[in-house]
Amino acid sequence: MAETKHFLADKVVLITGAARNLGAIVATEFASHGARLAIVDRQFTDEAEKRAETLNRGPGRAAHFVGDVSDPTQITAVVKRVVDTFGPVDVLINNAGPFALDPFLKLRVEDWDFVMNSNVRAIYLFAQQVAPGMNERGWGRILNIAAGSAFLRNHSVYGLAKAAVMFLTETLALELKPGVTVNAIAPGQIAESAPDISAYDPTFVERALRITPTGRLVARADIARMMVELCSPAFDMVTGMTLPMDGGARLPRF
Amino acid sequence: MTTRPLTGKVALVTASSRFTGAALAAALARAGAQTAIHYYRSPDEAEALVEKLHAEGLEASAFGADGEKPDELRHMADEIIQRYGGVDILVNNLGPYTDTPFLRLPEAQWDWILDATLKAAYLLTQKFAPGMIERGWGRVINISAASAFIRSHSIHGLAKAALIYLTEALAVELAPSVTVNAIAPGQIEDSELIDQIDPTYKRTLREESPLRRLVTRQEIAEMILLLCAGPFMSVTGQTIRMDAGWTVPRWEYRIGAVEWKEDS
Repeated sequence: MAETKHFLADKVVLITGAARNLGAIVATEFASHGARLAIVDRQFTDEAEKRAETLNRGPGRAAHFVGDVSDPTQITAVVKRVVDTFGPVDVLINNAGPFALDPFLKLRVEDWDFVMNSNVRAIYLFAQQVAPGMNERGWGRILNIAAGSAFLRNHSVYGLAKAAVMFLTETLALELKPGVTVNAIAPGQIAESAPDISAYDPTFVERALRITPTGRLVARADIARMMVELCSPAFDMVTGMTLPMDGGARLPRF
Repeated sequence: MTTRPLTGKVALVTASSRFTGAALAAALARAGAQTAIHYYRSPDEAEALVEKLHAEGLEASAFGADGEKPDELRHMADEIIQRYGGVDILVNNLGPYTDTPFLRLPEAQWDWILDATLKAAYLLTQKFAPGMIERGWGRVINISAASAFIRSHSIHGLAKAALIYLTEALAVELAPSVTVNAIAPGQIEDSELIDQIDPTYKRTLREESPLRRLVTRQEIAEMILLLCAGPFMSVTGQTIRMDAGWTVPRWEYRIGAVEWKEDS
């Protein structure tokens, strides 16, 4: 059995966009170390409900909170419900990150707003709600999900939003008190999502693997484990960092 | 004889009724461009600038729009296209300031700064770039700021950094006929707004800058004219820092502050 990370026992972890995909795997990983998970998403399927039941039979706890992070009033409301259920938030994981790839000349302003507000504005609004408590208690972690797209310039408003996530990670790191750190992970193409992409670009995975020195795409479990490590004492002196997890794909070469 | 290298071109500078924007618009008009002056709260200053340029025999007119409202920006763009047929040189200068820390920043201010600085640039480019591409020449010049390179100017820094990202993304998207570049000025010498808040601020920055000076509005204006000229045909997606070296990373070792002991 994998080693239990005792530093997460009974910690309250609020994670957004975690009804499925990466967020669900991260929530499961944190719960396996005894954390209490407040899982926020716009909607929850039966499969998500079953996953939460399973988590509640293990060392951790999990509860679902419906909320749309692009809407500031829903952010305030959802944090209040989370605190009422579990108590103050120790770890905030900003994982919700909707996507739009239309070129800027064609991008609808509504899509700009939704992508920017969900990926970027939500981080600062959640931080406003939970960071003062972390500062007071002297310990806290804010973890953001950037993306390899942040380092590219042809992924439209998604890349722009993820680059802004990196900026916000650095500024919030300056604003918080000692003991509270803010870091981000920038995954490359995630292995489990590759089939969706292959459906419209059959060459994508092969091309991605060719530039990836580690020889495979990053898996959701890789990211989940790294997020747990970022909460460990080993990372007490690391803040404002964006950690690329792309297997070296972005290293310059010709 | 005065040469007017931008004769036949149309320029728009956002937020150009006064301050730095007015200096940029005047320089473009004096270089021969038919120049659209954008204002929001200061129609009188905009009209005064237009009259001044007319008196010099130059072509300029003023257009009003709230930079935070997509509909007003689009309407203004249509008015400019109707009047001049399009815009060849778009200078996105609009960029309000606040450095309220994120943990205290009201949501309305987040939206205001980000919409005026970043979203307006994207929306105006969306309106004018198709015409530039059709005519086979265009320049988009975004006014970023040295705040983009530090992490203590809150949403202003974030918006100006995102504007650099947008500059690079649009450079890819609008190639090959249109170039997109940015200028990131440090504190501007002849901007007086800061003096009322902190009269020592500019002196401190001058002393902290390797070149011991601050950039002037005129220097920024001249850089814009250069970005429209021949040598910059092969330059796109770049941000030119005009900050007298202020953002170059460095850390002073104060030799003499510690006692050095020689090995015996």
